[in-house]
Parts: sequence; C-alpha cells; structure tokens
Amino acid sequence: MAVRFEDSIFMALNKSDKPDMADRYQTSKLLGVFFIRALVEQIQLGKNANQRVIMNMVNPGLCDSGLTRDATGLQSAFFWLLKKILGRSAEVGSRTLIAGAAAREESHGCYMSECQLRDLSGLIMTDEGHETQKRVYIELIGILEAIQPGISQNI
Amino acid sequence: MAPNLFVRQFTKLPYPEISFKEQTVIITGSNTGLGFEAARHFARLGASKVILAVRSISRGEEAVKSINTSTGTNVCEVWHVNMGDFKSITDFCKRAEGLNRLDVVCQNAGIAKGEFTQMEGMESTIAVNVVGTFLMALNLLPTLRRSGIKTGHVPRLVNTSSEVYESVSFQMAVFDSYLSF
Repeated sequence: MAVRFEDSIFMALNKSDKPDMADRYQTSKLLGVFFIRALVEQIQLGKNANQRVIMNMVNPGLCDSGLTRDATGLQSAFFWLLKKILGRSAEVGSRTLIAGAAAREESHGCYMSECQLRDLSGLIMTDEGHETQKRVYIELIGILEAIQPGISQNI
Repeated sequence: MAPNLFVRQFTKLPYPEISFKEQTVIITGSNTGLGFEAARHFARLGASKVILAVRSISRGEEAVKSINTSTGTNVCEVWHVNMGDFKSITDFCKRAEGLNRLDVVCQNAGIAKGEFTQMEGMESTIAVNVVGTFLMALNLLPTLRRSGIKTGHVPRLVNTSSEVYESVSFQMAVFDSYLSF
C-alpha cells in the first residue's frame, strides 16, 4: 500500500482522483489560519522575536468581488443571488483590509471581522485543531523549504 | 459568541480615516475587487507609495489610472507577480528588498477553483492561497523587519482570510482520507 505517501494533509489535497473541490477554498483559508497562528508562535520563540511585524488576518465577509469568477452553472447563480441579497460592495469589504493595516499590537496573530478583533471558533479551537495546526505548520514549512532552501531562516 | 452571517453582513463598517502618511504599501490582487478598493483607500489616506502587485500589468495600469483620477494622487505603481508561479513570487520579493521602507503588505490575492487543476504541481487553490501566499510572506518578513527598525513604525502583514475557515468539511474530507488507511 502506498498510503504512507498520503500520510500528509498537503498530499491528500493534491489527489486528482475524487478531489473534494466543493470546499477547497474554505480548506485553503483554514490552512492559512492554522499556519499564521503557528508562525506567530514560532517567531515569538525565535531570533527575530524582538523585531516586531504585526501579522493579522481579516475577514472581508461576502463581497461583490471577483473571487467567484471560476464558478459555473448553478453554483455561479447561487453566488450571484447570495451576493445580491447579502453582499457588501468591494469598497465596503476593502475597509476590513485597511482596518488590518492599521490594527495595533493586540491584533498580532489574530483574526478580525467587521474591522474588529474576533475570537476564532470551530475546529481551530479544539485539541484536535491544535494538533492539526502543528502538522500544517511542519508540512508547509517542509514544502516551502523544498521550494526555497533556507527560507525558514526568515522566521 | 460571534454574530451570525446576517448580522455580520449588515454590520456597518467604519469608513477609513486613519493616515498612512509616508508609508509604503503592497497589495496583492489589486487590479480589481477588494484589493483595488483597498489600494484606492491607501492612496487617499496619504500613503507615499502604493504598489499594486498583479498578474496583468495592463489591468494594473488601468486600475492605477482610476485611482489617480478619483483620489487626485500619483503614488501607485504596478509590479508584476503571479501567485501561482513561485519564481515570480521570489523575484517580486527580491525587488521589494530594494524599497526604502515597507510598512504594510496586504496579502489579498486568492482564487477559488471549482475543478481540480494544478499549478507548480499542486492543486491550484492550495498553490496560490496557501503555498504561494506564505512563500511571499516569509520572503517579505526580513524587508518588513528592516523597515520597522529604520522607521520606528511597526509594519503590518495582513492576510485576507475568510469566515468560511469555520467550514467543518475539511475535517471530514481530509481526515476521512487518513482514517481510511
């Protein structure tokens, strides 16, 4: 059995047979939250801990942006309707980015929604989530090191 | 407890008034949508350099024209980067090392593919939103730190996240594949 090659989140996500694309975007964003949280912890432990860079995450909400440009058919119609009813304009959504760019130290490693700090919830806050966060970090650093050896020196 | 989607979507977001005077800002994915509107805000709010990091130089230039006209500024630049091409990302970051200062990086570029395609040998959404994004983040960190030391202004690296991270199907999809070994 070649399953040992699949004993990896990123490998599993690169399987072209029966790929679960319906929630791929969501998965990519969850991986981002995991990685940033872990990265912030690692920076704090490392040689650059005193050279502050505030890293935060912002949720723009549902916006009339080009993100769903690749959707087709029913899915495309669904997004169109949802955005018509609930969507923010791109300008209003972009205010969340400006809020992140202006946010203070307390936003470091944190998630913001509606231009305010918000607690994360769901899998991330569970023990299983914490374990997964470690795995995501180790795997992704491994991938980045393969792309650019030595890159983790920047942490 | 976080407010639900409806409450969130109808929460009024404050119009940005804070100054970015003298600051240099990079925004990826900024020829359209959120990134574009963020670039317009940064220009209006006094940034001295706003770099639109985009795949298409010509569409970036169109965006700059629009921003210059609406804000009466002339602070935008278009730099090429393709977040699905790792060499392009590292080239971009090398170029950024030459900046006098770097105060804000908005990592906003992202894609949502409904079908399995690959870039750099990886599924495209993961390649762009995760691997490419953090390849860029780690390569810009030294430049951001240098800027912070030089100017005394703590730089910000802002990641465009999404509430959809809460989706539990990641648990199901990826973990099922582990459990089925």
